[in-house]
Amino acid sequence: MRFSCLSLIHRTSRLFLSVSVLGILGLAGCGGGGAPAEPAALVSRGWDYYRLGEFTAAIEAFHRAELGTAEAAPEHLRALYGQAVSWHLRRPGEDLARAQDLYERVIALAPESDLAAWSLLALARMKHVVPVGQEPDYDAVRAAYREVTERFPGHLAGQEAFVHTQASLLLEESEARFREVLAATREFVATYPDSPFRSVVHEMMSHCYGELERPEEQLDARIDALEAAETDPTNPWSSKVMDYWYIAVIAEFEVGDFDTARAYYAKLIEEYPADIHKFPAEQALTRMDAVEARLRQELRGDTPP
Amino acid sequence: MSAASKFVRSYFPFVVVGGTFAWSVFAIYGHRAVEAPPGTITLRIAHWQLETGVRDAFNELADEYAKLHPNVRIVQDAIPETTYGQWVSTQLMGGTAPDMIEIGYLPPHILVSYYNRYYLTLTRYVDQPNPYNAGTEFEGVPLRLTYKDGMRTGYVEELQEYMNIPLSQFGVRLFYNKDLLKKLTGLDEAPSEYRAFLDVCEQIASQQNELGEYYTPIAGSKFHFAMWESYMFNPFTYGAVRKADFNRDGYVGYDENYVAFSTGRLTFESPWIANKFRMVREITDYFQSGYTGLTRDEAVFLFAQQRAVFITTGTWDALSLADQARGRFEVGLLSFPNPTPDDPVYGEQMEGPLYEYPMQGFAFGITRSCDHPEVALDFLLFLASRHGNERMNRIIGWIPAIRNAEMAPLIAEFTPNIYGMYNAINFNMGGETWIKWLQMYALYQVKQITYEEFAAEFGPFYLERGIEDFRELQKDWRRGIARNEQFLAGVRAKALMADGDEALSHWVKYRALTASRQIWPEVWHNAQVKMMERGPDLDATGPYEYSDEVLERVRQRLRREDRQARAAPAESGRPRGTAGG
Repeated sequence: MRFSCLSLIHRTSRLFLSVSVLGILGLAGCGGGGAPAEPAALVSRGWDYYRLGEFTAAIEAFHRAELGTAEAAPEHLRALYGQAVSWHLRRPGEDLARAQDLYERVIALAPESDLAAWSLLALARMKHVVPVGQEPDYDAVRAAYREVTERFPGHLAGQEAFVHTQASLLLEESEARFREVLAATREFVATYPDSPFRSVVHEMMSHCYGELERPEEQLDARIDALEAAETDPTNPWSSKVMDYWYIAVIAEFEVGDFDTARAYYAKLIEEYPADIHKFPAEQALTRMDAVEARLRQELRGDTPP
Repeated sequence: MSAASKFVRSYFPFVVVGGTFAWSVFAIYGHRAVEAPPGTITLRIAHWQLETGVRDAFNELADEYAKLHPNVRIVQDAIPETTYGQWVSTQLMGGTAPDMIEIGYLPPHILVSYYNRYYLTLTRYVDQPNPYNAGTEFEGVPLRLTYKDGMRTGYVEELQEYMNIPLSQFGVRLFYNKDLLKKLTGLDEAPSEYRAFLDVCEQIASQQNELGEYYTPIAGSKFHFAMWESYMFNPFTYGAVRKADFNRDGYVGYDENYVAFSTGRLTFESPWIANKFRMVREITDYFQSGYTGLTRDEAVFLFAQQRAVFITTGTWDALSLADQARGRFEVGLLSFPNPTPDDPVYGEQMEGPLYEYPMQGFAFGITRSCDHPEVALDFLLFLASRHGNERMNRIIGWIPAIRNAEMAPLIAEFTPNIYGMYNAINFNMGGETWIKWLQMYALYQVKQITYEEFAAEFGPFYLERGIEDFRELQKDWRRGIARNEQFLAGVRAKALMADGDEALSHWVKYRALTASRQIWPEVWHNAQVKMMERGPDLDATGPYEYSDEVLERVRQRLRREDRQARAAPAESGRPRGTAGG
């Protein structure tokens, strides 16, 4: 009797254990490879993994989506693009050659598509964003950007490539380059007056005018940049405080246009009363009053010039 | 012997274990049923605030909430701060996390990955009004606009999402033992003027207690020194901004600091730097000896045992300190003592009040494992409402995070002053230079070296080694660009996969981030490297000085205005880019 009871308990325990293990395996199986997921869902999941830094899982999801779609399908392109980005930007374990191959497949399959534009830009960025210890070959980088701009002139990727090209020219800090950037950016603004990148482009123009010691135009371009700026209303950190500050400082110290300087210092003080720049902005207003008072006195002949 | 008793004898241990298990199941179920009848939603909230008042505040607010929602029960998990980070990690990874968790005690990059994995995003709610603000001035106002800081603390830049609901603000002040001050100096109030404060400290330091021990004027520790440094010593360097802010952004970066020193625009004789060190010495002379090796608690004990008169701390400790003092001595509150503009040493540097960085926190995220996230959010909104936040912070003794929420008079004195002078020196180049700075500064603090010795030893090392450390820092810059590239690809993917307004919003984010993290940083970095290598143009005017050409333009305008005023009624110049303003 004792033997049979113990044996029963023993057997029950084993059964319970086996059922548990099977249950766990079953659940794991359901999670991993149960009903085949839709390619769109797999691509979406792949990006979720990517943003979590789970690059292997991301690549796996994108790969499954690729296998489950025909070459001409949009999800197929998205799956290839997702894999390309993951191999390109995963750290550690990046495989640039494989990424390049995948980007090129996207371009070859749908050369006029959105993803082809972004893939071409990614290939240019690959040349630009190099590992620590290396310097980019800027001629090659610019040639790659130029290809994006020429093939996709009105596309956001093409316009981003344009901006990167001009930024790379600014790095040389030569008068000729500043003039070159000025000419290109002026043309860009004329061609694409509604480009979402026009604020950055105006800011570049302001930078060039500053370097070329043309302060009035530097100030005007900075104001144009502010007026064209896109604001992300959901980001509490995005503010115009530094725009106001820089415009006021250029107006005060580069142009001597105290009216404009006062107007922008005042906007800063009024719109951002809690910002750390409020105190120096108020000091600036006092400073300009003092300078004007001193110069007026000098002009009246009260003090020697 | 019956079969039953035989069975019990043979399997007694199994019977006992089985019986105990059955009883415990029954007891726990019975207890839970009383505490939380069927249909009750129980939410757990975890925090590390063991200070006086926090748990009481949660209990009271939970009771008030239960009056509005009888089916909701709030349970607190108050975890000591020493183990909080590990505890949260374990709970999140184990899938047993509470529904709401106070955010903190984790390294920033870990926190970002936890946010991503384990917390719900709250972005979609921040532009909606807080329903508990109905009938107040914030009725219909988006939640984020009801915050004093626009809910910046709740926004996580790396994710571009709102991830938590902050509930309090913090400030730092000097506390003092009013009875001891009266006994030792005859004063009812501590002086807020710098020289008078030093005199009082001197008077205190010269007296002994009944055990023959000298009184300590200021209870200090490494922790407390950092507060003195940020809130009092550093703002005195403000004037250096006019010498070293080469890019005119209003701050002095480590690169600008280095270039200013290497070109002689700033030296260790410059008043903003020499006087900061002088003030450090004058104040820390009244700390207890060996304070740099002491912890926060040791300084608090010294104050609580009435062996020190002053201590600096934040709102988070205010009520706890008042509690410890209750019945024994009265606690007074004081701003950091400022020199007057006619002070013989610091007067010229006193351009204004001292800026105090506002700190907001006591922020809670909602975990993905929460079964009733809508109820958890509703409870947090209740705590973040105009009245809920006021009531909660009044009980705890902290500063409310919500605008217009009133606070206790004692706490009102902690409200940070967000206007005035701020720090304008930065020797942190990382690497060997920073280590050397920390070593030498520590020696100076404990009076093992004089300021002259500090400058003679650190100055040449800084100039010689600084450029190498700068180059090392540049490697981090390049790594940062690669990380940004990875992050931006994720944002771009969101934009590509979204439609309508959502896509538009993602694209705006994408472009703003591309400009601010990838395009301009390379241009600025390039300018920074060139400035480090060749220094600024020494013949050029300073960053905040007028050139002769600019002064001449102003002169011409004034002449023109003068002529116009004589010829016709004055018409002032119209500023550019503004609507005639």
